[in-house]
Amino acid sequence: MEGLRADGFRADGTVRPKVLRLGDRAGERDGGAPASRHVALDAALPDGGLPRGAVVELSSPRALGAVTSLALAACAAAQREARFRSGDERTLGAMCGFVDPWETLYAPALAHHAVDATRLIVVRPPLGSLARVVVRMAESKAFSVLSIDLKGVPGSRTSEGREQSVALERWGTVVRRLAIAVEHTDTTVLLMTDRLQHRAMPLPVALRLEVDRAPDRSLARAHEESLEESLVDRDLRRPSVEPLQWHVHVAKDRSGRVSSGLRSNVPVSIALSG
Amino acid sequence: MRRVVAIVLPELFRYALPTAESQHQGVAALYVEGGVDVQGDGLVAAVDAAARARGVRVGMRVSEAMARTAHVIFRSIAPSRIVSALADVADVASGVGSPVEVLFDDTVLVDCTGVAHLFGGEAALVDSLAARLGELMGPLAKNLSIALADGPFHARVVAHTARSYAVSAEAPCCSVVPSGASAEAIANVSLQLLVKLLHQPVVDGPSWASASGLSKDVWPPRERHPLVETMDRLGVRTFGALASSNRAQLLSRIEALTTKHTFADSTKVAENLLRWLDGEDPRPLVPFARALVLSDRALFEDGVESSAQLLFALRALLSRLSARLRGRRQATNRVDLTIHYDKSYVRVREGEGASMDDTLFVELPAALSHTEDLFRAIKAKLEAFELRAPCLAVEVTLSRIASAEGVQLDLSRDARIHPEALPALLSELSAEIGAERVGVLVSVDDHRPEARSRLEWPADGGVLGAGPAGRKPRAPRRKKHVMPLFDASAFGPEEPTRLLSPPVPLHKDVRELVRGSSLRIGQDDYEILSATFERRLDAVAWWTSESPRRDYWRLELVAARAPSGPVRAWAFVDKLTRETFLHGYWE
Repeated sequence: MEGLRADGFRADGTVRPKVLRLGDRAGERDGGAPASRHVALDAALPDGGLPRGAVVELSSPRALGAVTSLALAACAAAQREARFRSGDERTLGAMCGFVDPWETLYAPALAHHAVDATRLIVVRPPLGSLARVVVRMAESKAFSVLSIDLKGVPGSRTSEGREQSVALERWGTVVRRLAIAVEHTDTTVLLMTDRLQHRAMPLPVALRLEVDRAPDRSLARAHEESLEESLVDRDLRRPSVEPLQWHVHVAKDRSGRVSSGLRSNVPVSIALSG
Repeated sequence: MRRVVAIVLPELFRYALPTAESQHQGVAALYVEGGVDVQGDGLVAAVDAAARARGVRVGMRVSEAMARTAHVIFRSIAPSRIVSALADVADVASGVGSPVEVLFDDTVLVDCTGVAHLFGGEAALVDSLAARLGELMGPLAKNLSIALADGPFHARVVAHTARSYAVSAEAPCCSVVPSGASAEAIANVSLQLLVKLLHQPVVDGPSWASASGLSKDVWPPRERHPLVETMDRLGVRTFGALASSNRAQLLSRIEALTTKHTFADSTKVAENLLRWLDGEDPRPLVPFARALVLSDRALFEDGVESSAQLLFALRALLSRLSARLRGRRQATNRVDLTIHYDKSYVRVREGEGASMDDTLFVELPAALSHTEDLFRAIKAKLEAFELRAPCLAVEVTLSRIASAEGVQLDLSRDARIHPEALPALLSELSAEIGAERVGVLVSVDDHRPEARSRLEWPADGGVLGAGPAGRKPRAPRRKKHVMPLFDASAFGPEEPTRLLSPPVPLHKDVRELVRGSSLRIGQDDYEILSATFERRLDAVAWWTSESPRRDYWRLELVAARAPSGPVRAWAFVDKLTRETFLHGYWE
């Protein structure tokens, strides 16, 4: 068929339509997930993507890293995969959850990140109920991706007027309960934390990603080159947009290895207006 | 071949007694409306096995029964309570067939023609029905008897004499008569049973007892019947003996008796009796009209003073209501809980004009029917509620009943998710933290950024789906998978990811939004790396009182505390006040 690559994906990166059915979906890992279009970040991760049935920590200085964008991208990927796997274009996709105690998530940004807003449940609990609410949401097993914002952004306040991030000292137990709740399921829990916040012990997560901005402009050039090879339809790209360049450092992987020393500088193209 | 199930509940009146008395042995009931005390000339309408063993019979006067034995207690029960109990059983029975007919005071019939294969056979069908009734009635279900036969009459006869056709020794209450063997099944049954079978009136709806009244001609049935007495004098004492009699003579005898006496089914007694003897019963069932609102009530002899004790009773109530909902293939969108206090306590504590009860309610985002889902939704509300006085009764009402639609298998996830998992979760969260904190984000067409995003309750059909009645599937063990990320397109977002509401004042003049200037946001200091004018809002929403005039700027800030990378912020200058505000971030 014209326009199809050998791995079953179209040249523009979209999945093959339902009617083609040329065989097994190419580029899939165990479990049938479609190949990532976010090639660079997937390549940087230990297993080639975010693990399922586990808790992942996305750590960045407050309002610095693109952790919210990463979380929304994960939600969009889960929804897209659900539509793909159900084989029916009318399927609305998997349900995702976003816990936003600071009430700052903005609806128009969801459309840009290709997130189906009708399939993203947003919960704004008071900080006193936050732990109980997130555990309950994880135990329901109703979500493919559950994103929990524990850091807020500078200047944000909760409904009780609190400005500080959630104290992480007591969240070790909560994280363990989250891990137990999503074990043996296909739910991924994303914890968005402030890397600069003091904590006595690291959170017992399966994977910790530290997101930082790449100061080296050479990486920007490398990204531009990678964009040339990307699966994005060139005609639809706006030449005036300069994507941000981010460092994604795998601080801890599924095997428990905590990396130190060399950082894996992988330019991750998350297109935010520059 | 037609298949009908008869459910006989010999001591159903216990279901209508207060919980503390329902387990007493040696109870005789009188069906009297209005809570009238037991009188000596009252007629006994129902007895349990212990009272019968002591010589108390249905139709006997109370004074006569008291003369026979002093070890029986007498209770007045309103016939409407018996009808209500039968309606509960009918709701559960409707889950295995249709239509459902109710006979006063202890029988429910349901037509199960052609549905046995859905349960794995007729034996499995009656077992399933017994299990569901056990869930409804609890320990009171041990006395019930269920029989499946070719027609309502034969099923009723076998249910009253269930031992011969028991499915297994462990379940003596469940009997299945093979198809075509109904005549043989009733051959050895005494004709005395006809007395009750011919006199049981059909109940057409929940208001039957109050509408028609329960006259003494209707209930209790007499112990003697002219047909049975005549046959007894002729030496015909069983159905089998009656069947082997000369049909012509039998017919003439019965018709003669019909002209002399009034039968409950007078015009067709002879014709029906001959058909029954041949193993046929084509009589259609009279459908029972179901109540539009379901309610149940629990009474406490000693007042309940804590929410924890109330929750314990509430779970039992919801279990019964859930069994009825699932039998009817329905679910509810609202749960009302009415707490009735001890009036004397309330009067002393709060005075004469105080309300004697409180009502809590929970609106459910999608119709739910399972006990645990309903319980979690109401539990969150009840735990935060403080009782004003000891509670003597609690009543649960399900007023917004909806059809429980089936949900097709969802192949879009690795793990099987119960269809009611999300609606139940949303119900619980809304009850705990408030419905205004749970929902989906909706983009609103508005010039003002702060009005462009709104949290709304999920619309039915788009997000939620009513779950069917059924077991919750177990999630299978699977390998952990890797979920790749979606590579966002190269479009630049015009809107920030996070919006601050209200905007945070920066206490800076617009001329200070230049490279090198410092800002303080919250507890942190930032330095401006770059400031780019983005857009202007002017003369927008002019028809409102808050028509903004703003110049928006995109700022790149670097934190003094963590100088590792810039922060992308969205700020605006209010042209009316010349103040600058931070409005959002790209994050």
